[in-house]
Amino acid sequence: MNETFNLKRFLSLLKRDIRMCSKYYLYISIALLGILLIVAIFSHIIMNITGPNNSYDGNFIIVYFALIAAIFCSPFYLRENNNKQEALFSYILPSSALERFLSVCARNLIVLVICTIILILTNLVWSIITISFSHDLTVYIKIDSSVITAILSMQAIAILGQAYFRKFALVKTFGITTLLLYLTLMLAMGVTEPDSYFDLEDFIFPEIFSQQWLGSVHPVLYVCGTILKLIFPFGLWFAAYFKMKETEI
Amino acid sequence: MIQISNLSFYYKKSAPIFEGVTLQIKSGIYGLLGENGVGKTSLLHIISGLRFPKSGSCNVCGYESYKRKPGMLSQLFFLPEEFNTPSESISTYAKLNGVFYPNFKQSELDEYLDIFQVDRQKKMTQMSFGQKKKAMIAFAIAANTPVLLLDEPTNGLDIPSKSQFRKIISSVSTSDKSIVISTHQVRDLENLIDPIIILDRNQVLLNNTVEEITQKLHFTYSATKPQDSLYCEQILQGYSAVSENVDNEESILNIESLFSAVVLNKEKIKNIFNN
Repeated sequence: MNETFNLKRFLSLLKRDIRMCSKYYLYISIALLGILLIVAIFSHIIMNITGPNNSYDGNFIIVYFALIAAIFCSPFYLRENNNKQEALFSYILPSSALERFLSVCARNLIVLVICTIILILTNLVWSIITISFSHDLTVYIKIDSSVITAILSMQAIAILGQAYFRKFALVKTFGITTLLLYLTLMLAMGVTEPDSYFDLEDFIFPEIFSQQWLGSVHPVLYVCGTILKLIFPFGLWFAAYFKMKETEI
Repeated sequence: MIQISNLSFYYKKSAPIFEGVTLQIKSGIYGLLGENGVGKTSLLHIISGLRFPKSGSCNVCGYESYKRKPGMLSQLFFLPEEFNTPSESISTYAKLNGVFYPNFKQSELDEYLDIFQVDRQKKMTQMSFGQKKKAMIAFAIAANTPVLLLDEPTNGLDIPSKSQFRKIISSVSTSDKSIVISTHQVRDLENLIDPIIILDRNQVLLNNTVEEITQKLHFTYSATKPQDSLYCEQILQGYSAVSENVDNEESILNIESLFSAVVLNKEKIKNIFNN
C-alpha cells in the first residue's frame, strides 16, 4: 500500500467527506440563492418605482459580498476538528495526511463551484432586470488571473486558519488577516508615497490601490509583490498541509 | 503488536501523565484499569496516533503511532467512550467507512447489529446513546482489525447488551488480535479480560495474565478478618481479602479487590511480581 497517496483510498475518502458535507453545500446554495432572489426582487421593485437607474446595480454588491463570505467562511464549517467527539473518527480513518489535505481542498473547491454558478446566475438575473448591466458591472465581475489568485488566496488563508486555530478560528483568522493586510498596505504606502494620504477608499477597494501598487516600478514593492504571489496561495497550502499533519486530536 | 518504550507524555509539563513507561501488549483481551485521571484514555489516544509522545516511542504493528500512517490505521480501530455520530444510518456509515479496513465484513456487521437489535436503517443521530454505542461497537468489531481499542465500551449498555457484548468479544478474540478494553466496570468484564494492566500516575503497576496474578496473589473469602492481607474488604458474608500467595494455593481472581490491593500496595506489588 502506498503510504503517501493511494488513488483508490483517496477517492473513497473524498466520497465519504463530500457525503458528510452534502447538507452544508445544500444550505449554502439555498442561502446564496435566497440572497440573490431578495436583492433581485428589491432592485426590481425600486427600479419600477424610480425608473432604470445605474446606481441600483450597487444592490448586487450584496451578492458579491455574500459569495466572498461563503468562500472565506466555508473552510471553518467544513473542517474536521470543530468538535473533538466528531473529529476523532476522521483522525483514525486510514488515510494519509496528503489525502486528507487534498480532500479538504476538494471540499472547498466545491464551494467555489457553487459560488461560480451563483455568480453566473447573478449576472443573468441582473441582465434581465436592466439593460445597463454588462457595462456597469464590468469592474466587479471581470475574472482574470489576479482575481482567481485572490479568491484562491483568500480560501487558502481560511484553510490555514482553520488548521491552526481550534477555538474562534474564523474570528481569529479574519482579525489577523485584516490587521496584516492593513499593515502591509500602510507599509507599501510608506515606501512608495511617504507623503500621500491613505484613506478608507483605498482599504475598501484594494484592487484600485493594488493596481497602483503592483503596477509600480518601485523595486522594493516589485520584489515584495513577487514574493507575495508565491506565498499566496501555494505557500499557505504548504503550511496548512504540514499543520494538518502534526495536529493532535 | 504494541510496543511502548520509555514513553513520556504530559498535557502540562508540571503534571506528567507518563514518565519513562515501558509496556508491551501482545494478543489477547487486555483490561486497562486505573484510577480517574491516571491516563488510560491518553494511553489509548497515543496508541491510536491521536496524541504524540513527548519522548520515547509507541510502536503499533511495526509503525510509529504518531506518524499515523494508513498502514497502521487500517490495522487499528479506536472506539472512544463518548462520540458524536454523523447524521446517517449505520448501514450508510459502514458503506462509506468500511472500505478503509481490508478485513471489514458486512455480513458480520449485520450479524452483530441483529444480536444488539439495532435498526440499521435508522439515522444514528436519532438513536439513544446506548443504541449508538451498540451500532459503533458492531462496526468496530466487524472491522476485524488486529488491534481494537475500546474505551468504556459497556458504559451506557443495558444488562442484556453487556452479556451480548461479552459473548461477541470472546468469540472474535484470536491469537492474532489485541483487544484493549479500558474500563471501570470490571464486574461487566470479569471473566473476559486477561491479561490485566493497571496504570498509576507515571507508571504501570501491573501487566500480567490472570494465571500469573493468581499464582502470586491469593484471593479469599472468610468469615473473620484475615491478618497480613494486602487488602481486605468487609462484605455481606464476611471479608474479601487479597494476600501474597506464599503457599501456592489456587483461588479465583476478584478484579475489584485486586485493583484496590495494587493501588494501596504499589511497591510491594512491584516486588512480588518482579521476583
